[in-house]
Amino acid sequence: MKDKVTPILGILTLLSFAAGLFYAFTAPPDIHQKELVRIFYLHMPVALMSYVAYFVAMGYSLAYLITKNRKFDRLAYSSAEVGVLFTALTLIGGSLWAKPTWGTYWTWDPRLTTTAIGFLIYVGYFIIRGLIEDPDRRARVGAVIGIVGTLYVPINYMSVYWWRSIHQTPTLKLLGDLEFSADPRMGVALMCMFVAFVIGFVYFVRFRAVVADRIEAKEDRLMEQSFQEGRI
Amino acid sequence: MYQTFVTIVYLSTFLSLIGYVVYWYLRLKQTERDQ
Repeated sequence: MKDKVTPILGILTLLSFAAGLFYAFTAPPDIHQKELVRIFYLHMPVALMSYVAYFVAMGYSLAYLITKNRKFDRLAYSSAEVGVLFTALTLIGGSLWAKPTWGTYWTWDPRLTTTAIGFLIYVGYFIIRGLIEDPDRRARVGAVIGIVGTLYVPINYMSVYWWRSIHQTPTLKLLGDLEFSADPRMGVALMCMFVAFVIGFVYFVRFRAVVADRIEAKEDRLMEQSFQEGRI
Repeated sequence: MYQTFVTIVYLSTFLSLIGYVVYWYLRLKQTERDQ
């Protein structure tokens, strides 16, 4: 069956990013950081969406363990892969922003360190998956790591409260009353970029899962063929 | 002063996202060709 939703999501992603970029570059500069504050409209949504990606991966991993349906495994690792990409962008973008504002690209701050650990956990998730040949065992082990690995998210979010940190506390507080402590025009830019990343995330995961489905179907066919020819 | 720097950060981020989609699109096409 021809997939019509994914291309539409792709177009929506492009349009929403175009709107997000417009607001990000027309919002007023910050009184202290000047133009540099615009990196924030990219950094915060991408970091927040990496959390979402890991939670979605956890949800699909649980669904796989309950149902043993490989479709959930594909969605879990697609989401985890997008999470790794977003975490990498968070680390690189954050480091580039840190140099002119903090005076260094990297410091062993609790928020930065836990983000780097989270990144390594999910890189490890893919390395371990790559080492297991049996698809069912690979999915089962992946699901367990996907669930346990998500524990990093609350630790990372709370790290700026629990330990002394150079990183600011969250601009958009997720716990307690919703609070945004900046100019409303900056809030519009941030929300537009956030919505763009939400749509983009759905598109990336769906697109990646479609590709994974085709690749797995081909691998299964080759395996079946080898089995019939007596090579396995 | 930092406008170029900010633009480069945005460009590299979006090029990474585009690169991710293009890579998997090419893998998809390769899989379809091999069938």
